[in-house]
Amino acid sequence: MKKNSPFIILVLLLVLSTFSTFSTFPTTPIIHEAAAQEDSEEVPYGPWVDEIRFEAEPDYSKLVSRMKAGEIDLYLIDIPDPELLAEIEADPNLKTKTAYGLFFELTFNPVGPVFKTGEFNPFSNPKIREAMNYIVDRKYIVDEIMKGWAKEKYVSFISAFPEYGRLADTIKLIESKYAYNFEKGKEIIFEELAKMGCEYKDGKWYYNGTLITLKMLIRTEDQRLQIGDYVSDQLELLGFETERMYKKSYEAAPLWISGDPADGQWHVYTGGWISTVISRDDSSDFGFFYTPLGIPFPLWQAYKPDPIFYEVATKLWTSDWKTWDERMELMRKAVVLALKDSARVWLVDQIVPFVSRSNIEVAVDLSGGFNNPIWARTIRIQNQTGGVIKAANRDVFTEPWNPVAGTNWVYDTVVMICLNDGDILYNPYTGLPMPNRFINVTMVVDDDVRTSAVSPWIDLTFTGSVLVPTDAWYAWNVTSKSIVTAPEGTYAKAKIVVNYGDVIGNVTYHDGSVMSLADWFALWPLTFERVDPASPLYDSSAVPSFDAWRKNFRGMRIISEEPLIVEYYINYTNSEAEFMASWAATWPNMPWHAVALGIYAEEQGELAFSSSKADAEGIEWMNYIGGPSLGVFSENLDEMINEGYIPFVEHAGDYITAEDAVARYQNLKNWYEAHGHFWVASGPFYLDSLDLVASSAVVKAFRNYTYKADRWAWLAEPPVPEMSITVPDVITPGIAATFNVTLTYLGEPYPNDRIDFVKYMVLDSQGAVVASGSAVAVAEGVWSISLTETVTAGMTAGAYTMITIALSKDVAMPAILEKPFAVIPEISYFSDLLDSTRNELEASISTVETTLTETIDELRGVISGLQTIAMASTGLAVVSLIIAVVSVIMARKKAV
Amino acid sequence: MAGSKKGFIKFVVKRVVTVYIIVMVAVYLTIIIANMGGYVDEIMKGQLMLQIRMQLKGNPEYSTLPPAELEKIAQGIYEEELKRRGLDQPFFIRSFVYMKDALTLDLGRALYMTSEGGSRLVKLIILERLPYTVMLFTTAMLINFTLHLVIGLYLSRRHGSKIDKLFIALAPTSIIPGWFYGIFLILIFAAYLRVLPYGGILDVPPPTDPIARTLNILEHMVLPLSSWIIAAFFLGCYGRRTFFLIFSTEDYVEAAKAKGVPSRRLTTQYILRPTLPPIITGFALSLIGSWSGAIITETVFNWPGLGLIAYQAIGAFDTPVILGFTVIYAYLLAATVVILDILYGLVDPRIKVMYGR
Repeated sequence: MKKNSPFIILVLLLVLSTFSTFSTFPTTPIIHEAAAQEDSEEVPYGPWVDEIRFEAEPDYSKLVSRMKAGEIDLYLIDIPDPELLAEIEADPNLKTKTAYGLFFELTFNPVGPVFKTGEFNPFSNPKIREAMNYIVDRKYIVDEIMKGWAKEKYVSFISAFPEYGRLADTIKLIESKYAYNFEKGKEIIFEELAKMGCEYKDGKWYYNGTLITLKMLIRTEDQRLQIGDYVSDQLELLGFETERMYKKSYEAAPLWISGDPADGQWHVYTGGWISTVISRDDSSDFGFFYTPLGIPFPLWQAYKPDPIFYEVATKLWTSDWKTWDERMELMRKAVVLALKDSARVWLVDQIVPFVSRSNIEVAVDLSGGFNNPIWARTIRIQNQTGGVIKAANRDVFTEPWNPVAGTNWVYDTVVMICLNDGDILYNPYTGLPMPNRFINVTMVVDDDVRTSAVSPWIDLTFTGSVLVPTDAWYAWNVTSKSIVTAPEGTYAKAKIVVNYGDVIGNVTYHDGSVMSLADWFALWPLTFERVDPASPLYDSSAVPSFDAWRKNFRGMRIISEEPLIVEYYINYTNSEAEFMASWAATWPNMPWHAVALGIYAEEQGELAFSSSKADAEGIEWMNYIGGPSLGVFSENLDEMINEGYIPFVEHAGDYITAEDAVARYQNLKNWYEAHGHFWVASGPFYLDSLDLVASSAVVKAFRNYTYKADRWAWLAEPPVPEMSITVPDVITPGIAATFNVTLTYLGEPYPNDRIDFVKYMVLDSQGAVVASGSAVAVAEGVWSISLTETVTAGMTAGAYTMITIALSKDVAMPAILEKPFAVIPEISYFSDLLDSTRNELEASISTVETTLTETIDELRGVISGLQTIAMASTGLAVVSLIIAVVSVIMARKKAV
Repeated sequence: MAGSKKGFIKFVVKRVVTVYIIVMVAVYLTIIIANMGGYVDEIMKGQLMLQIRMQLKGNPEYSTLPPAELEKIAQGIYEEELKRRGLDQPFFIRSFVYMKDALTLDLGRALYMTSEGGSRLVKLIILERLPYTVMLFTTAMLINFTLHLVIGLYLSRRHGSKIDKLFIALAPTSIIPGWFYGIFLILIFAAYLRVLPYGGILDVPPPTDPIARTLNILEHMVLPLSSWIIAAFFLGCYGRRTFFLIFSTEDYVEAAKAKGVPSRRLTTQYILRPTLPPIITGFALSLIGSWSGAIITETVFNWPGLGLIAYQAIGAFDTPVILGFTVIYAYLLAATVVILDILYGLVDPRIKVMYGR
């Protein structure tokens, strides 16, 4: 057995590629981790619930009715109908969680000033495009068209994603600068049109004596229909005629995507874009949306951005920057210049609601919703262990499932991610990778690579160069059927050493097979066989993605088997080292014998992993869960048992004996007899049964799963900081002022070490920045903003706004608070001060007067008392004297 | 006699050839319309390129590649997909390939759609849904046909009675389509009373026992079936009643009545018999029509029928699937028309006479 040069098979990478596109984990447990801990005795292995039943319910009205009645617990896709959402919100038994990712914009035709037809195009002028930002009232769109289910949008970044948070201070200024101001926009547009030779007569604009008519390409499938009408109305208010062309996607595409914009078939298109994962790097947005770098299509090639903007966009497109600060500076510039260009005017970020019964606890990805494996690992009936969840979706099964090139439809993957497991998960609130099936990673990276890590599971160091050892697996020779090791002098950008822990012999697959080294390394040749025309597994559709992978992959070798430690050499780089680690690491989600079933069928020419090859060969696209493939698999399995089939036996024979193979195939056969399909994986649920025509499936808890149900409980809710701010009573120019910012979550102070930054900006009534900076932590959850005497000295009396932006390390969505306050003038301040002093003095004098009066009264009382005493004393004295005199007289009489 | 036979064969051949030419024209027109005369190619190419670019943009695997290499990869994927979809050939050539495949019933492979079992074979996509379509819509058609026939005949014999007037009065209710009644039935029996399912064909999880499974499917059929029966009931009965009424007032019927022919014999031999050919024609055409499903009813009841598949195929410009439906339907219709023509020819002396010409 050759065990000293292991490698991970690409097929398993591919299995996991769908999986790993949507997941995440915490760098350090955050704010409510402790709260989520349960008595470990009570916590089951695998998921909290016993079973999830999936069914198709494409009708939203029926869905809501059924959810109210308790027939469905959660809906795995968003409900776009605002009226139904209002009904849901009014029902105490239902609740919503929100995500982001869909956004709308206006795409302008940049060609001109005249088209080939001779028609005028005002949007060839960037100043007019820029002014359109003032003409469009985004708040109106949010409130009236989107019914509150959207946020105003001025830049391409989604407001819940990291780039927005990082640049929030700059973007807030843009939002302030370009806020709705129809008159201002009109003034600019009128001025520019006049410069361009247009004439304004009787409330209408003319060019060369012809009325200017703007062709509005309006999409009809969603709220862009109303948006298109609204924008057209606004343009008509400016004096343009509009021709509203209502089109569906397929009707509009030939006009705006592939058509030549110079033909003048449209002026404005109501565009929409979607992101299904939290994007942490949107630096290519500027190149893609505003420059010819984007797509080699006529519209993109017609873009003529300002040279400075183009240079900045190109630098960001090609990652031509040395430090993170330099990148951020480029991003700041680009954000501002993009508004100046405004080839697209961004309108709204849609808030996407996901609905469940109120007693369901589940983590939902901030972008992908339920399209993140975290949902299946956190779902629970409140305060309950076990139970059945009834989940619905618009559809349940769409395309064939297979481990190499099967479906990537969300209707399939949302079920699949319950069954599969992967090396990493993506944090549903930050998009950062978290280790799921490995313990830690040691990275040695070339000095030239600009990367850093914030996660404690990565040990990152830099070195002069990374040489790939000559015993590392580099490729597979399809002709000689042998491993190719790395040629001498092969260098990589990074060495990634992944410690998977004691997995060999300790992890169980759904069919009862126990993980062995074969599951990791036996199918290594498959990747190379699929791209070599000499192989029966050759598939031309696999070549493009293989080419990209080949450039990034430089080699691998096994360092240890128990624990399993594998060393990867890669050229793939990312500014966040976590992504480099996740690129290299892998997990054999499906055992080798289940993948071998597909390999055998494709070798026989009966089925094909990819739809392209299936179409080309006129055979069936391989499906592990239904259709004609099952019959083929079932027959083949018997043949494989009889033959003791081992795929790529020249290599895999080192890991698999004929007896092992037969035992594994027998497990699979038993599985098929019990469940009617061949999907065997390693996730927290297994696929118990399915009905393709009825569009239903039942997945059950896999209690032999390695981890307990509370492993990800701390991710139940996005820990967005709740912010409040205390404004000083009086703020006066020239006198320092201190604002206190309080950050909390669930009523508790937000830990300072989980806060990335707290920034502030002070804007005057015109939206100009008066002051900006960072707040300083003064206590746990309490941050202080100090405006120095110098800063306040520059402020004049009037209304101001303090914008505070707090970004947590545990959620990409920043907390933003705008607090108005007033600055009073010095004279008022001193007048108030004098008044206050006078009042104080008057109060003191009054107090003294009162005291004196009281003292005098007291003295008078005392004197009066004394007088009485004196008079009494005098009386007594007189009486005494009289008595004495009488006594003397009487005494004398006796004596006489 | 020999001349009549020869004439009959000539008649049949002429009918077959004519109908086949019509089918060919219909199929080719379908190809042209479904592809907007080739314009769909442009739509698909544009969407495909944008889709590939967006995929590459969002995939970190490609983020470190130089722009030129990225472009090469994008182009490679694009061309591969064009080839897979057959878009690397001009539409004009493809249109004839489509037609040849369709006419030879080589339904081929769908461009985008798959059967529930994951197969791209058009025949499987259609065959998988056909049983459920037949189960619901053919059952509905048979029930309707029988009800309308029996009640229509009954009413025709009692025209002018109260019940006849009631049916005439209620006939306009059939203007409302079946799916509309379906929504009300769902509201009453599923949402309010909660005694029947909202839709679908089986519970989740489906019963495994065959009898329980059959009963479960029947339970799911109750509402959609009812909606179709209710929707067609009064107008259908009224239509048949009028149809029979016209025949029952024919001179020969009146003569038979006058002769004292018993009522039963009058109904079966004097009224039903001569109306049989149009009834059979109507039945045959309705039967074929029922196999095409009903898009909205299937949507309302989440019923996995053929109508929805056809609708999805049209929306996705999946020409092979559209053609699959069209050509099957066209052949069935053509065959029915030819067979009926032959039957008429055999039984109708007036047509027989024409053979000799």
